[in-house]
Amino acid sequence: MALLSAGVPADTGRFLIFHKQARKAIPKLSIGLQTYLPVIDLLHVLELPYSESVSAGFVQITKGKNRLRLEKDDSQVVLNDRKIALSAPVTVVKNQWVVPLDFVRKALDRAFDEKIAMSASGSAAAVGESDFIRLNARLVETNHALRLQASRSVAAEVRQQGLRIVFAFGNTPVEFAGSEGIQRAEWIRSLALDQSESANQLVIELADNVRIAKISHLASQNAYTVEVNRQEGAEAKPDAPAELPHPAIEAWKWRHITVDAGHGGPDRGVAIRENVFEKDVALAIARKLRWALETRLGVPVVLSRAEDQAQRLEDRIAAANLARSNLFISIHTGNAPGSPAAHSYAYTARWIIDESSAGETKNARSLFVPWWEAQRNSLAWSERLAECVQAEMNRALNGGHPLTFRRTPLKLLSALAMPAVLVEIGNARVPDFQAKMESEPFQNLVAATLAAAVERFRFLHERP
Amino acid sequence: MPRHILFGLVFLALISLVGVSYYYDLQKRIQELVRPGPEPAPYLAVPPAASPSAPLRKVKLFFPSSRQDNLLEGEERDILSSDLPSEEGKQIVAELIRGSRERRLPALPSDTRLRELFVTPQGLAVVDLTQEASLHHPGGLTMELASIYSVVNSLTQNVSRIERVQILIEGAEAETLAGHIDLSRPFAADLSMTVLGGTAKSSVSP
Repeated sequence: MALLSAGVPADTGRFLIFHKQARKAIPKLSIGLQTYLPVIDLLHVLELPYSESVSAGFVQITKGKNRLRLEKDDSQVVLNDRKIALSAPVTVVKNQWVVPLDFVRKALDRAFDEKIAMSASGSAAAVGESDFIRLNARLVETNHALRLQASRSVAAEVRQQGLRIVFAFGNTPVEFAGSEGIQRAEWIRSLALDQSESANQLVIELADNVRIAKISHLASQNAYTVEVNRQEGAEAKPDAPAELPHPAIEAWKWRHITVDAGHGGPDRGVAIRENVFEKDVALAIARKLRWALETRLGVPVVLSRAEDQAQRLEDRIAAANLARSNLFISIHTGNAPGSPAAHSYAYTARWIIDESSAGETKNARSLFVPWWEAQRNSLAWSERLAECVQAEMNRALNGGHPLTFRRTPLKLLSALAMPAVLVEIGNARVPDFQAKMESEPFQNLVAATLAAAVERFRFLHERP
Repeated sequence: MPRHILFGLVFLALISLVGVSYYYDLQKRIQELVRPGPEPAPYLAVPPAASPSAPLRKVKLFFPSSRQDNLLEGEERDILSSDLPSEEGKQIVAELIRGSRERRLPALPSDTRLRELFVTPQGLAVVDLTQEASLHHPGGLTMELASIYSVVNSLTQNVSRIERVQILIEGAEAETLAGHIDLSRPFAADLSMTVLGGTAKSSVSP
């Protein structure tokens, strides 16, 4: 927290990694005066195996016998029981682990089999290299020639594009170390190292009043020279100002019910029988429930997915919370191989109580509800809703058995800020029920049952 | 029969006998070479470092019941004892992946592998499973809950230094194992659905 208060994290460009004859870029963040790197992105590029948990507050990197462990908000990392001090603590920003830049040189370099070289500017790293090739530019031959001097042997592909000269270095890690006298040479408009995933080149832009006479490669001296002749020329046109984008205006929806069809896309849910999956049955019931609710209650209904598509739980939660839905019902089918019965149950949220989060929750509750516990404020109403749903299902689907609803630590429900239930219909492991789940009359019955439960709940909810 | 023909026949018979013996011996050796070895242990990255000569100790693993939903039933196993809770934990999770010997339901899909298991000084066991644990899970809220608490209860009830369990999939936090239960936070033991030797009560009824 102290770290975050030092400054708002800001994107400060890209960090380039030369690895296995390729270049990959990851974002760089600036927090206060420190530059940070997203460590998980870094490990993916370096193909290093790791385990991480934001809530448990650690990242562990395993490479051969080496284990490098990072703890949240700790400025020391542990490499095989040896502590290594970093310039700033490891932290989490927007659910992303970030490490100070010196983590690469001080910690990762020691844990990794191959040497990792850092560029002096701190904007790139090279795996398997002792250092970057340093390029220096200086004027020679009475200021009519430019010499590019490399710290060691380097081969560049030289391209001349009008008054632009490009030295392309492929996947060789190079860095620009500085220049001498370039500012005095009016014929050099700019000289810059362009390094990204798509380019690794030194670009020299010449003024219009010169003509390139000769470009030489002095291989034995690790140098290139560019010689020019002066000419008269025209100035370049200034760039046109960029158009600013207009912010999008989102209209708010008001008073509606969200019906969520469980799973979707590659997440097929329970295999009910060959080529019939939970995601399909849930979507069919959800569509029927939408129709039943809209005709019976006259309340607009939004489906969290209207077709067979993958959707993360967090996206479903965010959509319902953002739209300020009044009610949320998630449709699933059951799978209980240990039970011969095909009973349907309603579920509400429950939280796993552990000592590490209990204090956090208690403190947070005094001011704000943590987002993953947004359901707490609506839980009493959710349980009333679950009672209504369970009672209707007992009557219509459970053969009159007096079953009670269940409380479970459900990811989906716990973060919803409105009365919310999840229903699990039947048991896909009961053979008779498999065909029933697919049948239109049964799906209509389920939809009508749930709509009746919502109607019953609305009566309770709206009663003063 | 002339003697030289008799000697020839005997010689041929001996050669045939040696040939047949050699053939069977060769076939046996080839079969041994191509015969699949014992099933690989369900570890991927880090096999347990417990010494094979370490004394055995009994643990009780919990598998989903095949008779009733929302019920975990215990089965005894022997594991190599170790001073390191992570080494004992690895053996426990491996046994859970191998499955029940008493026709109970699988705790985890059989092709799941344990990538890593370590225990923090605060008593948090981090169980890192391969994606098969999620991809090949049979699905359903009841089975998902049973899978999670098979692991959590088996570890917390058998290794005294493990108090809570965080489950990772392929080294990272997963939303859920099979679409329902929140895996982002550690689980403490919940014995309400576990038969410890007596009867179990339903965990999820309010």
